[in-house]
Amino acid sequence: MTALSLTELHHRVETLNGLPSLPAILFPVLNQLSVNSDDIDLQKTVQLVSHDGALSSQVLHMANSPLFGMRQPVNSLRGAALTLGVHRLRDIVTSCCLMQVAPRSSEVNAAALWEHSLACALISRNLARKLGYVDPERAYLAGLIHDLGLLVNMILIPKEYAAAYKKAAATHRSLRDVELEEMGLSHEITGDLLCTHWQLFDYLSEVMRRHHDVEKATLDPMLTALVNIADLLCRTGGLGYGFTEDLVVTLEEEPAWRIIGEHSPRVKYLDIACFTMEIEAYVNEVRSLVSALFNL
Amino acid sequence: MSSNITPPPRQDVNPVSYQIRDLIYGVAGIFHNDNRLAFLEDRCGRRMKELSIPSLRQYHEVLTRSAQRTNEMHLLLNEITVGETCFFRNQPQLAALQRLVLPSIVASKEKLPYKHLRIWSAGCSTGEEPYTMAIILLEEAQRFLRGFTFEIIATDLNDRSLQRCQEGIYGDYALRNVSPENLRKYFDPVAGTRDYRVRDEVRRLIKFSRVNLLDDARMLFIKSLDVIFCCNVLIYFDGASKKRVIQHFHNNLLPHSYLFLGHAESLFGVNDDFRLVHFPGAMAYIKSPVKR
Repeated sequence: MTALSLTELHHRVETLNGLPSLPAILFPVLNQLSVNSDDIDLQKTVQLVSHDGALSSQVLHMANSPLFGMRQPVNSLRGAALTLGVHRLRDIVTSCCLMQVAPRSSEVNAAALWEHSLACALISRNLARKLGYVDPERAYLAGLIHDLGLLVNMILIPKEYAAAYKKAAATHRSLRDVELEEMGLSHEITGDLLCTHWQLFDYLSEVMRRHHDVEKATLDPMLTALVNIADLLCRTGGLGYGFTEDLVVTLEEEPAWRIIGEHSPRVKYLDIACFTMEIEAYVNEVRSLVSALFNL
Repeated sequence: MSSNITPPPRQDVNPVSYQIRDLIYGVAGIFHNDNRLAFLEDRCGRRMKELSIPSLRQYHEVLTRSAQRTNEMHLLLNEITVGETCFFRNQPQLAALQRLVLPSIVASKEKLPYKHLRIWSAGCSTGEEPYTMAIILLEEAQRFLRGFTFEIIATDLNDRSLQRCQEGIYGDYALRNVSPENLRKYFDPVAGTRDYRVRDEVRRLIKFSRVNLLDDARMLFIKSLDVIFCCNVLIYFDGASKKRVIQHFHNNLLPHSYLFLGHAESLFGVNDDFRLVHFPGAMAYIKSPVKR
């Protein structure tokens, strides 16, 4: 297959050749990340979400999942916001907004991408908490969006990407390696372009661009490293891209693990085997949640 | 031990289950994630029925405060691990062995004149695990293991279990994961029963013997291993004994060789000379050549 030129891809992105615009609600929701939690206008967020019926149903469904720790079922957005708190509500709204962007009919497994993204978000946040990273909510968001480049590929270069995906699935190889081999570029580049197009935060752009190349991260290396480790744990833990990769990972030998060690002395006390077993409990919940959201 | 688990404790789970889960992890290194808590409660329930204890909280007290606590923990561990033995039990672990570990060992031995593979099933119980490995090796013998000789050492402390291994006769339950093709290739029906007997070509690969893993003298002589499987055995050992056994395993393995434990077991705090390796759906420990 002829490698697609980066110039051609830039052109397709810039001309919005099929690329969805940022969901209208997402920007104000994301903007709240830089606001003190005391200053967040809960009522305004609830109003914003409630304008979109489909989004409201998804948010409520997700809020009632055990993954988000709801003790009692809730049937209103306001109830969810009051029970879960503004941070969790924001995570849920962001997740639902982005999932609406996914193409529903594709030759590749779009649901698997969102299973992977959601699991990566949950694991990044969990790991961030255990390792004392300053902003676990940022880790959730970074985990959620790290592979959005795959979504861009599905939409802008569907044939080329489907061929790469099928080859990776058939040979149990890393999707990124096959993307580079077949298309001459990988999802980090297209994700970075999407970040620029959507004017997302620089640190998110860095995670998209560097999550497979963590040593080049400069803005927030710990964040990129956390997402890299969460991504590996998802892919070995049955929440990859919808196929089994022949992955052999020794976390302690990963560059991301070294970076985390430089930023967090707690890493020495993390029982990785136990943490892996904890997150195994996510698998079925994440699958059923994404499946339900896709069918709402 | 990790207790800061998200998502938060589930409402449908008795909070004492978390305490028992943490207790078992501390004592035996066997971890039950949230999906396995119902199973854990069920197994505690069996013991509670036996002891006529009405509540999980009271049973937790028996496990932590009574004079019988050590013995009761042993009996609970029996309940947790009993009945799980069958051929091809932990499929992700076996897939990792077949698809990733064995090919990497083969590659590391490519230039050796004598190509030999030595696997130890330590705590082989009634034989399902070593026979499964033998079948995997035979399946690969004409593929990437062409030119290799194999040897499986299967040991257990229990004479009755070893007797069952030698007989090599198994029923439906033990054989439930064996494919019809493998059943045809590697087993013979036992006349007048619904059981099957493992064929001699499989049995020939395995040397069964009685070994106490705490017998230092015996442990010194099981050398040059490529892979050790020791599943749900160390959970019965105290911390010091566990460390001793794991150190023997480390000494007995060749460089860059692998140790597989039971699905929920961890070596954290037991030994720093192994490195944890993640495979799809499975974990193992690799012998690290560098002592940290």
